[in-house]
Amino acid sequence: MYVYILGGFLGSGKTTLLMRLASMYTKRGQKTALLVNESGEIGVDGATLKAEGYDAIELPNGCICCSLSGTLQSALKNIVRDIDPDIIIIEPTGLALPHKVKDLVRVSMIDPEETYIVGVADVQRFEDLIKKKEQFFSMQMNSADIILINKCDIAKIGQVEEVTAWLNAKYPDKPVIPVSAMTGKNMDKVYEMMK
Amino acid sequence: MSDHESTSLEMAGGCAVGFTGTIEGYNADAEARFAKALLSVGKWVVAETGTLLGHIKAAIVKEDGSGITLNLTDLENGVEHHGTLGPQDKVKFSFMTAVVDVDEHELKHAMWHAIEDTGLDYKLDEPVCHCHDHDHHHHHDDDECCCGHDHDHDHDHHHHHDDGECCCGHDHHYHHDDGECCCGHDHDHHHHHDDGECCCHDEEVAIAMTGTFVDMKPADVLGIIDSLGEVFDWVQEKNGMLDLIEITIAPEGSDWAVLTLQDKDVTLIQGKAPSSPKAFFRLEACGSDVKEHDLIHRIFHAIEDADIEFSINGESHCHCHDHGECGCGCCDDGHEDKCRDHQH
Repeated sequence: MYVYILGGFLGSGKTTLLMRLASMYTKRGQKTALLVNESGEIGVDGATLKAEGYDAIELPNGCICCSLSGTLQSALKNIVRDIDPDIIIIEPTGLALPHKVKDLVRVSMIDPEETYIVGVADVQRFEDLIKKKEQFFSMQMNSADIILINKCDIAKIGQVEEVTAWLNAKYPDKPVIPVSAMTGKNMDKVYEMMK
Repeated sequence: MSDHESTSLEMAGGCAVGFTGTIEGYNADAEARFAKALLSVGKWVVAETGTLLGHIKAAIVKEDGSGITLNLTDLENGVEHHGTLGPQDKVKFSFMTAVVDVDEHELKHAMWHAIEDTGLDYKLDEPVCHCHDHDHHHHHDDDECCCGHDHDHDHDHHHHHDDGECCCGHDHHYHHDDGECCCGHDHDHHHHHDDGECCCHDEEVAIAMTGTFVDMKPADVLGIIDSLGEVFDWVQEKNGMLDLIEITIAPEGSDWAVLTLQDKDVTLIQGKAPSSPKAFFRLEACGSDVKEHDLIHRIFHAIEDADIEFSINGESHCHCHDHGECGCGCCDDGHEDKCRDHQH
């Protein structure tokens, strides 16, 4: 069993990416469990997934990397016991720190073969995000195994290149892939990297 | 020393709030109204923080949980609609926002007002806004509210200024609440016609105007919507009826956007209008019991008030005011510099 954690700021397209990955794993015939977390007491992502035909376990009203850490561990144990999936994809809130989620997965005793963090950056709002929240964004990306530059389909001319250069300079050891989770552009490169 | 370990939410300066409720009489119009609520909140966040770092989401579902979701992450992209939901007697909804650098209570307040302003027949599962439960205005001799919130923009400032001038920075020459003209001319034409018939109104009116927006930004579209929305009030004040205003914007090198204003607060937005040095547009409006020329005139000024460089049929200002002998009254008041007539 492999666990994937989708890390990225609010509105970076994690839920759309989650659906893409779930669809890909379903086509591969791998049993996949989806776990989504929203920081507000009102959850909407679960409804989004349901509207698109996916079933997911929702953990609203808190952040799984802090206030809901116990809930996450219990949910993971239940998923493994009840579903026994090949893949678990966790979508924390856009205000979560993925490395903390990874630590919680490690101590939850579900014993995955490996846990990966997929970092997601929104190309459209990258400049604003770096201007206002660079430190927090860096904390989210520091532990990523790969970084996806999302929403390339709606990027302005030169934006993808600029963001790629910024990320490559900051994270020279991490693969950085421009994609569009919405249209599927370049997603085949991501699929190749996933177990 | 504090033993409190900051949560990631605190580290990011973020907040997430939301509420749930039900809507009766759900249909496509209700979906558009709800999408408008998301846009309103998005505009509020941008006004507060300068950018929309976060998302505004809503789920509208039937009893069985199936339905649609709306998602706004960027004003330029507009509201994303996921799924389809036909007309329903009653639906449940969840409305949530997660953004950074705003006050949580003010955000919830803005969300509540956004949904309240949609005109939807809705009911919240729990009351949200208590700010309006009592009238603060008359409880305080110094006119200050004790509730602890910043009300700078929430109240009617018009009566706060002894000199009668508004401090909001907008051009109000045509925005008189009482519907009366301040230009100094006698506009009571009713007794000028021997046959006793009034020429002020036309029964059915349909107009079309074409023009160009220059250096258009996505935010300008929202300004245009707001400004054109005022035309509905104006027509109503004239005892007329405005069915809709539809404006098709074709930015150079981009797809068209179509804005359909069905009422002051109800606009359907199809497509998007990205930044563009030049965008052609065609505006159509139809209604009744309003004079055609007056409607064209009012819409011209509405676009003018949207604060975007434009021209309509090659004209960038209204020639209705190009009279030699000005009687607008501004000269007498020493406000020549503010008078539109004197700027041409």
